[in-house]
Amino acid sequence: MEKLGFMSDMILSELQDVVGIDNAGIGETEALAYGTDYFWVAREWADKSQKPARAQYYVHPSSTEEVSKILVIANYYKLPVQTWGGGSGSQGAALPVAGGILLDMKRMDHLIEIDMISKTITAEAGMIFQRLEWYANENNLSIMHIPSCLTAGTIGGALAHRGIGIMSTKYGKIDDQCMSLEVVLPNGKIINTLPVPKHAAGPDLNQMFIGSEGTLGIITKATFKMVKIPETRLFGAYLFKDFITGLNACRTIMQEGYKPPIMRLFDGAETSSVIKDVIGFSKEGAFMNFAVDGPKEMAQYEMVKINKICTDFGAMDCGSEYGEKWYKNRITFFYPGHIMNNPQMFGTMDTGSSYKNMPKIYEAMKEAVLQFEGVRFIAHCSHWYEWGTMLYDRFIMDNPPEDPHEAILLHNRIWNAGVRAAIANGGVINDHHGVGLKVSHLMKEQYGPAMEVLRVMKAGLDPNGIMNPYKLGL
Amino acid sequence: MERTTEKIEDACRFCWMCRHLCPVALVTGNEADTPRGRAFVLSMDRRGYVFNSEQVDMMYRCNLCYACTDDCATGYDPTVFTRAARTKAVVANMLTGHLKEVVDETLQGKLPVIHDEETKEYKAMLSRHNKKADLLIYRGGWKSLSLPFLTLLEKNNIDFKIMEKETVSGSLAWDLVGVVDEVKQFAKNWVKELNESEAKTVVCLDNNDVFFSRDQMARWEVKSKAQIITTVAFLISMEKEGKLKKVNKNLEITYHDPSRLARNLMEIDEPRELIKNSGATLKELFLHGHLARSCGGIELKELYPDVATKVEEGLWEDIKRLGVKTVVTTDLPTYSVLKESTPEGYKVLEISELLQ
Repeated sequence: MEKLGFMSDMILSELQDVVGIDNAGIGETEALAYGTDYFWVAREWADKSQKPARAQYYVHPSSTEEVSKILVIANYYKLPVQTWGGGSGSQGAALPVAGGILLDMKRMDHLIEIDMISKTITAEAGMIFQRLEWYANENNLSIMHIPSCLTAGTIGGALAHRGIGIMSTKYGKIDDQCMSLEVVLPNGKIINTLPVPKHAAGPDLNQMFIGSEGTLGIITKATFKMVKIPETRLFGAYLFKDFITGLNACRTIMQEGYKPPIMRLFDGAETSSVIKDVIGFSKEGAFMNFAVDGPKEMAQYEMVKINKICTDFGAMDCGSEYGEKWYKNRITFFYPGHIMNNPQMFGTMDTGSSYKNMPKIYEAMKEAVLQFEGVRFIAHCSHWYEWGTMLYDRFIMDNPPEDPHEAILLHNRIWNAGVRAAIANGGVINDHHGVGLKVSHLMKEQYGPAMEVLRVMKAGLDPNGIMNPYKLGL
Repeated sequence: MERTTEKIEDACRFCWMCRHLCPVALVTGNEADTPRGRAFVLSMDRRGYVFNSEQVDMMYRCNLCYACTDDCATGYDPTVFTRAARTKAVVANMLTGHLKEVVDETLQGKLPVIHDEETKEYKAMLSRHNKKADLLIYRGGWKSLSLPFLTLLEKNNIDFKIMEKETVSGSLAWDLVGVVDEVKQFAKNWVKELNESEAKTVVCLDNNDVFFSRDQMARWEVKSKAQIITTVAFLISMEKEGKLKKVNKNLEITYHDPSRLARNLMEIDEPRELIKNSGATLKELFLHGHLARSCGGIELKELYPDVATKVEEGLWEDIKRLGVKTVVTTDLPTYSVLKESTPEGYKVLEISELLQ
């Protein structure tokens, strides 16, 4: 429903009444700053001088109660609400493509409690995750959620897209690390999930909101478990003759019961490009680096066992140096100059699947992507389970079409081809970057009839459809 | 290190990696206040979007603490485009209100952001040290707040000169206006004054003057005959030469690293050595050294007091969690900010106070 004449000012007055004059506005500067996240399409749009997507109102709440009041206002006027954490997401989930309200959560960044008996930490969801980790570190503890966007994204952002960090193989994904949530429902009601995540009191509400990308409510507080910072961390690196041999070795490591927090296996193309560039390793094959940690004797024992498995698979021992180098440079990969950047076209199609399916997914995705002229394909696996792993495969086009419309359409065709190849072979459309706008249209293909469950949940909680429209296929 | 404004803007516009360290964006929570936000807006200016007065404010809300620059793994420096944007705004006459007044006064050679009293003790200190000496203390406009350091020198029988009227160094104008001829002229005038004093060593009570001399002035090749150093560097030299009398402070303290001392001048170990030798027990803030959280600074305090208060409160929250009641720092602008924002029950000492 279009708001005519002075209604824009009337609504702004109501929003300012809730959050204060300085914390709700319609400024051009904010419109620019919030018009682009990490999503390649948004970046391409801006790079080619196109007008970024903009909201009507930019609102910065400082409390759960303020978030609640804003959602009541939004529902009354049927204004779309797009929640923004760090804005560093790669799927376009935070972009204000439907106009309405852009709700930036970063003023809600307070530490609420550290429970040193249970080793849990509770904070507001707008806190940059690195700061939460620092609060834990002050007490010689860690949440062990260490993604490459640790310094860029917020707690709420990590939860909203089901994020993952480099230590996930031992310490879990964000959905394993989160204990409980406070959520503001679309109608403004404030709810809490159960105090602990393990129970037999019905379905797990945490897992309904984790990964919901702001479509079912707004996460305002979260509690995480913490672990002691390990006494020892040991590093190793190997070179396998090819990616599939490496994959089999890593599967064996996992299925023999070992839990390296870090284990990263790169295909030949990524070994000879990114790994060579950042850590200076320049041999052909599939590079693998790993770490083990914990009490010294346990870490040493695991190291011996993993070394043995790698050697049995014919891998060349590259010593601890490159494992350590990778760890020291773990975030360097994502700084300008190392990471892909416009005008290049690029995308990361991370998918998860079983070990049985992973070799054919790798080949199928590679083939699907390489059918496009001028496109490169690189991949690695870096999050491991007893049953399977995650393939982090990327396409890069160094010279995409100059015209932004043409480039975006080509970008989407490459994405469709790659992700459909994953789905067709037993993979999922995304492992840890989320859905957002980027693969929203593929959710129906991923879920099939099960999409009905998500649609009904959405319709029940958000009957006016104001929460982050066009995202998550909802 | 890359210094081309456009290249840095285009590198930073899609990079979020340093935002966790930006003291201003952390307290305003506004994307527009991040280095990425500023870079993006400026990059869009080159892509047909008009740079407006709202964005001028955005550029001046940055307190140039260099946390972002220090963090960048590839060496991009967002302060380069921030200063360049300020230059552009001044040249285009886009400044208004108090911001315009402050910048205009700065370009007239005044120090409008310094508020310090001219006490009787300060005047007496001036009259005792107005003669030529090998050591010149450049106050940078500070008056009574310079007394702890000057008193320490007296107590240790160090001969020095202070000037009642000083020529501005240009460091404040460098921050507020950027790399322009007027600032270079300030620097030249300053160097002339320092050379005419015939001092061999100049100790600056504002670290920014030292940083300015080693960074922008060095790029311009505007050099003084005297060595320009910080108070900390001078105190360390006194200690090494056995000219600093021993003290024994039975005190638990924490130390706040001034941004430019730690990140630009890289004097991180030196103040800690002084603290250790004072007998005080140092309990480190979790974020210290090059990671130190900025206190905001006097320019931010003058131009955007509401934002400055929040930045100061952020630092004090960290100090309170530590459970230590005495905070030691150095650099008079930093000392001044911390002293004025000290919560009840806490105490701030300039490092010279700890050493006497």
